Amino acid sequence: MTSVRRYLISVLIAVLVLTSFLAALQSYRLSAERARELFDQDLQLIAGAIWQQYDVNMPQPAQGLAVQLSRHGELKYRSELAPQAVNSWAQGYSEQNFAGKRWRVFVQSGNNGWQIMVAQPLQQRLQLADELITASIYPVVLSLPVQALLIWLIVSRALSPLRSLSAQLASRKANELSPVTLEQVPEELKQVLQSTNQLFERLSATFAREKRFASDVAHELRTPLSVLEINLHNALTRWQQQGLSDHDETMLALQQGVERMRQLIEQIMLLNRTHPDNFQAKTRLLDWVALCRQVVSEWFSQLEQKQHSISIEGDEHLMVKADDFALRLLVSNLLGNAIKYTPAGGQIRLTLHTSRDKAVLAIEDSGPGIPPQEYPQVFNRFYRVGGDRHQFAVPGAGLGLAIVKDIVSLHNGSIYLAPAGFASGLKVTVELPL
Amino acid sequence: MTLQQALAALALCIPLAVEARQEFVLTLKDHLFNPAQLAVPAGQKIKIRLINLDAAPEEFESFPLNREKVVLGNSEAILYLGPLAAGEYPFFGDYHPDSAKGVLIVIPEAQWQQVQHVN
Amino acid sequence: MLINTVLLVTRELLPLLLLLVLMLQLQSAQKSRFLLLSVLLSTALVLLLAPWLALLTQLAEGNGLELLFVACYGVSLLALIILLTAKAGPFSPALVVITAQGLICGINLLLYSFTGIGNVDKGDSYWLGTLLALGIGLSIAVLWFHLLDELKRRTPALLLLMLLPACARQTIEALALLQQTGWLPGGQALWDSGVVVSEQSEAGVFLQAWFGYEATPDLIQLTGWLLTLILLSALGYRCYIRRVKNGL
Repeated sequence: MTSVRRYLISVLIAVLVLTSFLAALQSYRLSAERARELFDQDLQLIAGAIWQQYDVNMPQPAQGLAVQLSRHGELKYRSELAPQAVNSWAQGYSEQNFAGKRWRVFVQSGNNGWQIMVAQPLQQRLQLADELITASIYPVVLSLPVQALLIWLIVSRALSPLRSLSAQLASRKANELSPVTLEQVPEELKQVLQSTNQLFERLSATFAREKRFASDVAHELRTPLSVLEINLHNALTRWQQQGLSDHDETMLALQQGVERMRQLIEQIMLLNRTHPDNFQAKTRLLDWVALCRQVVSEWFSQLEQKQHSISIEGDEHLMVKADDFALRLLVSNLLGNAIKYTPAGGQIRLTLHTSRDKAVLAIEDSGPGIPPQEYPQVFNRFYRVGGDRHQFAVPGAGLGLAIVKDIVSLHNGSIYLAPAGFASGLKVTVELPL
Repeated sequence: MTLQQALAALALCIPLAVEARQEFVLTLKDHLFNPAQLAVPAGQKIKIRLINLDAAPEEFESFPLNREKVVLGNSEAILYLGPLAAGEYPFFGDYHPDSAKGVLIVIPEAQWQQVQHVN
Repeated sequence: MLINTVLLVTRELLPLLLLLVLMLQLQSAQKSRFLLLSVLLSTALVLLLAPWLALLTQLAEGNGLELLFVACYGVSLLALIILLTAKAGPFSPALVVITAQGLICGINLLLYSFTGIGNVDKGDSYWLGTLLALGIGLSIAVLWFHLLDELKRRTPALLLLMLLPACARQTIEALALLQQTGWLPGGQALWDSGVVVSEQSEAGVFLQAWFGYEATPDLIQLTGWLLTLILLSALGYRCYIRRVKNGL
């Protein structure tokens, strides 16, 4: 297809010419047939009129002509329907009323005072003419819907590349920036397609740079941080060897600061890894309960340190289709949060069960919880409950829940927050499709 | 192979074509066929001599007979037909279809003998 | 008279136009050059033969014209077979097909025009009929072109498939003419499908132009038509498969 315009013009003209010419032929054929019938009827009428003149008993044709013959105003012959009185109508053609009908009349005078009148019922003539004209209009009228249908089909077909382009653009996800391809590119769309694809290419390059930026920075920061950690460690060892006291805890604060930065860098890199744009999920069937047990055992030393009582309730096995690394990270982040924010001697409860077509994990803790008005914000990156003045002063970057949310959306699941079933605390519910 | 077969078929056909055929005459004058009803026997190979007495060319056309033969003005042409099944085969002049019309009446052989006898 | 003119001119014009469109679609490039050259070549041939038409009709016991047409159909058939088996639609066989068909169409239209031109009574309906026929023929050609275009885009091999009915048409036309000249024996009609599609109707004319529709075929015509279709299908299929294998 070279050009929509050329295609439309040539095909539409072809269709219109073809249908109207075929309709004209059909009109010609039908009217010729009607005309032949009409002329045949005339022959029959004339025959009938002549019969009347010679044989009165002859059965009359239903639609007879009227004939009247006179000489010097004296009636010489009249057919049954013709008037008794000799007419004095004008010569030639006229329309007259007699015998309860309107007639088309032809009057002609000969020599020696002879005059003949021949008349045909007007209604009959009009009816015949009507039939003739109807026959010729009929195919033209019938051809119109055919033309309309064909034009509709042709225009839809000609515009299909445009439709396919807009459908492709509409069905695109926001982050899909691959070039648009059409099966057939008409001339009119070439430039549009080219410009669009160039734009997509530039955008895609920019996005890729932007996406990599944070993780690139984090990656670059790891080396100087490691150097910093080693130097700090060495300095601390030397302090201890020289018996210097750290009475204002400068060294401890420094150590904590470095540790927090390491976690932050780690999480930025994880966040980048679990971002839906970058994550190449390798989903397989996993037992979520077993996975939770493993994660709990990983966190065992922290749990023991804080004297938390932890329980896993619900189904014995819960198979979900998920990425092993991502799901482990999700449970670990949520459990880590619960341990972090629950005071020593608190309770943590994991509940796993199926609900209709979903696998559900709920993690409850007996910590301080989050005010419900802050629920929507906690998933934002770098958001920390209560701002920087954290009441427990627990180190964190505010990226843990952002990562969890990314993982949940990767698996087409959903995540809710609610008050825990304990006296206080938070309940995080994760639902994944089965 | 196919060429040889075709040649063989042609060689077989030529004697058939040469074989004597009964001839009928169909003249065309003032774009009218004479006779307008031409009787011929069924089941025989026949030939029709088309004589165009008009100045204009004419095309002898018959869909049931599968024939389409041009005859120029003031000239003749020969049409090879048959063997035909009994029946009526209408024909017309393609260039003057309003006046040049006729029917080829193919008569069963038994009847044809009688007709010939009477004549 | 009008209807008859339309059908007569369409009957001559349509086979040429359908083949021309097919040949154009088979040409991957140089479409306009092909169109120009084929029109020029067939017009030149018709003009060259025009003064000898009277003599030509008298040749071979008055069968000169028929034999010329048979030759044209034969040459067309050969060229079509070459097109069917060749790699990519070559230029010259296609040109031969169109020139041969153009010669048949041109001579028939020229003969017909002798009656129309200069005849006062028939002039009007002759010209109107020719115009209608031209409109119908060209419209069908344009639509046929786009239909083949669509087929070609979906499956290129379908275009080669469209050569088969054209080949079968050449055979049945040549056979009918040979029977008319008495070179082949005539036979009785096997059936009459004229009630369904009359050869004198618009649909009949189109089908005739497409694959050589005949309402009352006899045994020889039917056999020739079927044999052409079957043999050339097999031949075309073999060549196509071989080409596909080589392509791989």
